[in-house]
Amino acid sequence: MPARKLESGSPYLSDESKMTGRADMLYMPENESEVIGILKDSVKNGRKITVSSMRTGVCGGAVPEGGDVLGMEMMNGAVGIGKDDCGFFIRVRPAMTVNELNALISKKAFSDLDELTPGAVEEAMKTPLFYPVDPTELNSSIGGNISTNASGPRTFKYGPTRNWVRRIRIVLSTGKVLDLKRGDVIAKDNVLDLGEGYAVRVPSYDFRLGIKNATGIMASPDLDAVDLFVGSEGIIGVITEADVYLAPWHPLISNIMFFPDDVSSYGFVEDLRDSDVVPEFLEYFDGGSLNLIRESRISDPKFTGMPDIPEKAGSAVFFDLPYDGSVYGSYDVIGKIAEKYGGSLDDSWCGHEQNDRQRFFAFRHSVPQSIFDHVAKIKQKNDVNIHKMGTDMSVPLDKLDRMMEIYRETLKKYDLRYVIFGHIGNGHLHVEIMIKSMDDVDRAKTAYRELARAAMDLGGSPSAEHGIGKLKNEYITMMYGEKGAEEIKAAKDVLDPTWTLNVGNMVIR
Amino acid sequence: MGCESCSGGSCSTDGGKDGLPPGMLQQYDLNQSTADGGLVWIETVVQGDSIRISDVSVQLLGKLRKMSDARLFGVLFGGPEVKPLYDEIFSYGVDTLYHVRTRGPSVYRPEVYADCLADVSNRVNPAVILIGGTLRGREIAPRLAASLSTGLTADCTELSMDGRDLLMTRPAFGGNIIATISATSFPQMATLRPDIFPMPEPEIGRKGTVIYREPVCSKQKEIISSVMKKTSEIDISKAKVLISLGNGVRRSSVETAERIASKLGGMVSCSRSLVDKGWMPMSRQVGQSGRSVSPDIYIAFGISGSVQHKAGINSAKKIIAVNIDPDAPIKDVCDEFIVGDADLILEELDRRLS
Amino acid sequence: MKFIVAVKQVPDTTKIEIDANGSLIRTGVPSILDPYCEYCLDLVRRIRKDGDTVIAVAMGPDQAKEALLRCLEMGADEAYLLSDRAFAGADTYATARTLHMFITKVCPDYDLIFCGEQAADGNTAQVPGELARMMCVQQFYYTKDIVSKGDHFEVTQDYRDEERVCVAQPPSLISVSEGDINRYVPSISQHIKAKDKEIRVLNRIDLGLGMYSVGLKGSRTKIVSSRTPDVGSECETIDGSDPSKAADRIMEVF
Repeated sequence: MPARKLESGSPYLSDESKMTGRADMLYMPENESEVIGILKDSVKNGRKITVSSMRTGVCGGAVPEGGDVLGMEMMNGAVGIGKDDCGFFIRVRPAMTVNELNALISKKAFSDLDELTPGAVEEAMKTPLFYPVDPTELNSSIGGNISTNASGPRTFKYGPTRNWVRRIRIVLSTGKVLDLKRGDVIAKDNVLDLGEGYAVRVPSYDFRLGIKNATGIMASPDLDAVDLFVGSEGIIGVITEADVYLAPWHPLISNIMFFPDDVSSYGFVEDLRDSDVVPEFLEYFDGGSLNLIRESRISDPKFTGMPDIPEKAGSAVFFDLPYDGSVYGSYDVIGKIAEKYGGSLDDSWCGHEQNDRQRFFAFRHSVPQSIFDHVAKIKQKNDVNIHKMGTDMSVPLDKLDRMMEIYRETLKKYDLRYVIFGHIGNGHLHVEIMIKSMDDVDRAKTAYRELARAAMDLGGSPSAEHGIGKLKNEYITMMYGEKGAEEIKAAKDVLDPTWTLNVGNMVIR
Repeated sequence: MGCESCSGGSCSTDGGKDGLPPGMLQQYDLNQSTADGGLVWIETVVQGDSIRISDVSVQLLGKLRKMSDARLFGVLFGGPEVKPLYDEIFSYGVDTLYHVRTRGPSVYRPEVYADCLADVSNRVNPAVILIGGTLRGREIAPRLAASLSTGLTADCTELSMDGRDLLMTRPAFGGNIIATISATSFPQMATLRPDIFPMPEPEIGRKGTVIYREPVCSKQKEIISSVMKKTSEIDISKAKVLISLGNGVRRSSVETAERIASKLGGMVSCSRSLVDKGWMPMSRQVGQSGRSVSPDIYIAFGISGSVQHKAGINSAKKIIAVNIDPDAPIKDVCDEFIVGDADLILEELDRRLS
Repeated sequence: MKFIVAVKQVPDTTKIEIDANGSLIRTGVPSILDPYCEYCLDLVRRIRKDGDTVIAVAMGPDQAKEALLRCLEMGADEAYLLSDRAFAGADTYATARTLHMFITKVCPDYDLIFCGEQAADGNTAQVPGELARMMCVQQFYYTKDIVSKGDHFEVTQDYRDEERVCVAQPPSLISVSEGDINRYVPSISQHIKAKDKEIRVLNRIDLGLGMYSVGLKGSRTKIVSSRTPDVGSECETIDGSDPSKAADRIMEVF
C-alpha cells in the first residue's frame, strides 16, 4: 500500500475551504482490509485519522488537524450493477466521482460490472438512466457526497444524496465492518442497535427534515442506520463501498423567465409551487445578480454566451421541465401565473438541445463567477484580506417571504451591498455580501450571525448544504443547544470510542 | 438548364461526363475511362512585391511525383508577374503547365478559377486532380468537382496510388476515425492538408511546356473592397514554439502568454472557445476548423482537448498540457501532463522569464 | 425575398470518445443542430424583413426533425426533412445533388441559399461549393457578415489573409463560417409556435431522384477502410499543484 510523508503545501492539507491543516503521513489503502489495518494501527498508536478523497468541500471537512491522512483515491470506480423494487443501482467504491458515475451511465459501460441481480446489465442497457444528485461540484466523490449528504439544485425534485443511497459498507475505528442496507436496521425506542454492543441513542433534537439541512447527524424516531451515517461528516466511520440508485432519465427543456422586480419572482415561484407543475428545480436571480452579469458583459460582451438580458428584467427564475407532451399543459399554467406577476412566456428563454441547455447552466454559473471576479478585483485594489462571504441558509417555504425581508432589512441596517441567487424552490438562497473594503468585514460578520440566528428562529437551517466541517461548529449548539451537541458526541463515543476519526468535524470534544 | 454565372461550355448538369446516368458506369462496369496523369492547381502567394508558389502546392507536386511517373499537369493563374515561377514549377516535376493568362495580376475568383480548371481538366483528362487544402483551395475544389461530376475527398493526410487508382486517407468524425477513401469516377479528386507532406528537393534545370489559356468565365461578382492582412505575424502553422490557451484560463493570461511566447521565440495560439469568446482572432485557432500546427514544442494551458483540437496538434513534436482536470482528454495525446492551475503556472513562467 | 437554409443534425463531436477497443462510443452522445447552421440562422434572422420567407431543409433520419424544430424556433417559417432509406451513406456529391433537386422542385424562386461552412462531424466544407455549382450560382465562402442593400446583399468574407466585401446578387449561395457565440435564444412562446408548425417530409420519389443518384449508390467516393488514429504516446502525469515546480518542469524542456 502506498504511504508517504506529507510535506507542507501538499494538497492533502487543504480543501476548497482554503484552510490549511497539518498531518504527518498519507496512507492510500487499495481495499477494505487495508483500511481496517490502518485504523487498528492508528487506534493502537493513538494517532488521529482524517479521511480525504477529492477535497472539494467548503467547510474544511477533509483538512487534517494533526495525525495522519487516509487518502481514498485508490478505492475508486464502479463495482457492480443491480436492480430491486426501487430501481437500478450501481455499486461504487468511495472515491468514484459524480462525473465518473455520470460518464459511466451515459456511455452505458455496464458490461464490465458485476451483475448483482440476474439480468440487470441487459435491462439497464435498454433503459435511459441518470444519477439525479447534482452537487454542482461534479468532481466530488460519491463517498464524500454520502458523508455530507450533498445536495444541489435538483434536490428540489429528487431530494439530497440520502434519498439515493441503498446500502453502505462502513469500517469503524475499532475495525468492525458494518454492511447496512436501507430497511435492515431501524431505531427502536430511540436506540439503533448495530449489534455486538454498538447501540447508538438517536439524538432527541428536531432535525427539521422538512427543510434542506446539513447541520448535525440525522435524528428521527424511526431512524434507519443508513441515515445515521449519511451526512455524519465521517466522524463515526469510514465508507468503503456504497450502492446508489439511479432514476429513469427523460429529456428536459430549460427555461429562464424574466420578471420586473424581485418581489414578482417570489410571487411567481410561490404560485408555481402550489400548481400541478413540477419543475426539476427552481433557481432565482435577483436584480442585483442580473446587474452583476450586465456589468461583466460590458468588459467582456461574450461573458455568458447568451443574448443580452432584456432591459426591463429586474429578476429571473430558471427551471427545467420534463420535455414531453405534458410540457405544453405546464406552459399554459406557467404563462397564466407569470402574467399575474408582470411576466409572460414572451419574456423568456428556452432550450432543449443538450448543448443549448449547457448554455443555460453556464448562465446560471455566471453569477457566482461574476462575484468571484468582482471580489478578485477589489482584493487587488484594496486589501488582500478581503474575501467572499456568502450565506448557506434555508428556511421553510412559507417563511421565505419573511426571510427575504430580514435579508433586506439586516443588510440595509449594516449598509452592505449584496446579491441574492440560488435554490429558491427549497427556500435556500445564497446571499452574497459584496465586501468593498476591510471596513465592511466586521459589519458583514455581525450581519451574517444575525441572519443565521433569524433563519434558525424561522425553523430553518444555518447550513443547508455546505455542512459544518471545521468552520461552523458553533451552529450545532446554536441550533440544537448544548444537549444536542452532547448527543452527537455520545454517538461518536459509541462508534469511535477513541475519537480517532475526522476529529474537529461537526463537534469538538 | 441554362447557367447564368458562367459560360465556356464547361457547365453541364447531366449526370456524368460520359453522358450516362449516374451510377451506370459502376453498375455495368463500363468505367473504361482513358484518364491518365495528374493535374495540380499551382496556388501563388503574394508577399509584398514578390510572388511565390504556395508551400502546399510544392508539397503535393512532390507527393504526386513520388507516387507515379505519369504526366503531370499544372494550372497557374496570373499575368506576366508569374512567369519567373515557370522554372521552379518545372523543377518540382510539372511536365505541362497551363498558364491562364490575365492582363494584370489575377484576382482570385472561385467561380472563374473552378471553371478554368474544369476547362483544362476536360482537355487533358487527368486520372487525379490534387488541390492544396488552403482556404481558397477548399473553396474551389468542390465547385470543380461538381463541374466534372466527380467525387472529392477533403483534407487528406495520406495518399497512395495503385496503378492509376488513388487511395485517399483523411480523419473523420473530428479526428476520431481515420478513413481511407477511393473514388468511383475519374478524375479522382482530393484536397490535401498543408504541411503534412514534405517539401521535395527541386530538380534544377528540369524543363517543361507552357500552354497559355484565356479565362473562361464571363459574369463576375463585384468585389467592393479587399483588405490584405499581414500574414507574417499570425501564421501559427510555422511556429517552432506554441503557447496555446483554452477555456481554462483567465482573460488576463492572454497577455501573460504573449510575453512568455515572445521571450521563448514562439507564438500564442488557442482553442476554439477563446475565438468564440472573442479573446483571440480566428487566425490563432488550432484545430480542424482552424489550422494544423507542427511546432517542436506545444504547450497547452487550460485546453481540455476536443477531438478537433487533438487532430490539429498531432504533428507537434512534443506536447505538454497543463490542466486542472486530471482527466482532461488532451492527456491522450500529450507527452507530459501537468495537473495544476494554468493561470498560476503562466504567471510563474512569466516571472522567471522577465 | 426567399431564403433557404440547408442544415444538418450532427452528433456533438466535442463529446465523442473512443473506447478501449478503439471504436467510437456513440451511445449517450447527443445530436445537435450543427453549430455553423445556427450561425446561418442567426445571420438570416438579422437580414430578413417582414414578408420574407425562410425555409429550413435537412437531410437525415426522422430524428433530424429535432434539429428542424430548432430552426423553426430560430425564425424559419417552413421546414422540410429529406428522408429516405436510399439517402443513407451519401457522400457530399450525392448530398448536394439531393439538395439541388429539392430546391429545383420545391423553391426554385429562392434568393439566397445559406449553408454552414462545414458540418462538425464531417469537416469537408464541400457541400456548399458543389451545391452552388449544381445550382449554377455564385458562391460566397467564409462569410462572417451579410447586410441587406435592398435588391442585393453585401457579404463580408474572411480568407484569413484577406478580408473581402462583395456584392451578392440573388440568387447566390452563402457559406457561413463564423457567428456570434451569444446567439439567439428563442422564448417559450416561440418554442410553442414552432412546435405547432408542420415539418414536411419528402422522400426520394417526391424529389424525383433515381436510385443511382442518391445515397451510397449515388456517391462518387466510397470508404474502403477505417481505423482509429494511433495515439501511442506515453503520457507522464506530473503534479502541478505547486506552480513553481511546474514552471521548472516546463523550463527544463527549453
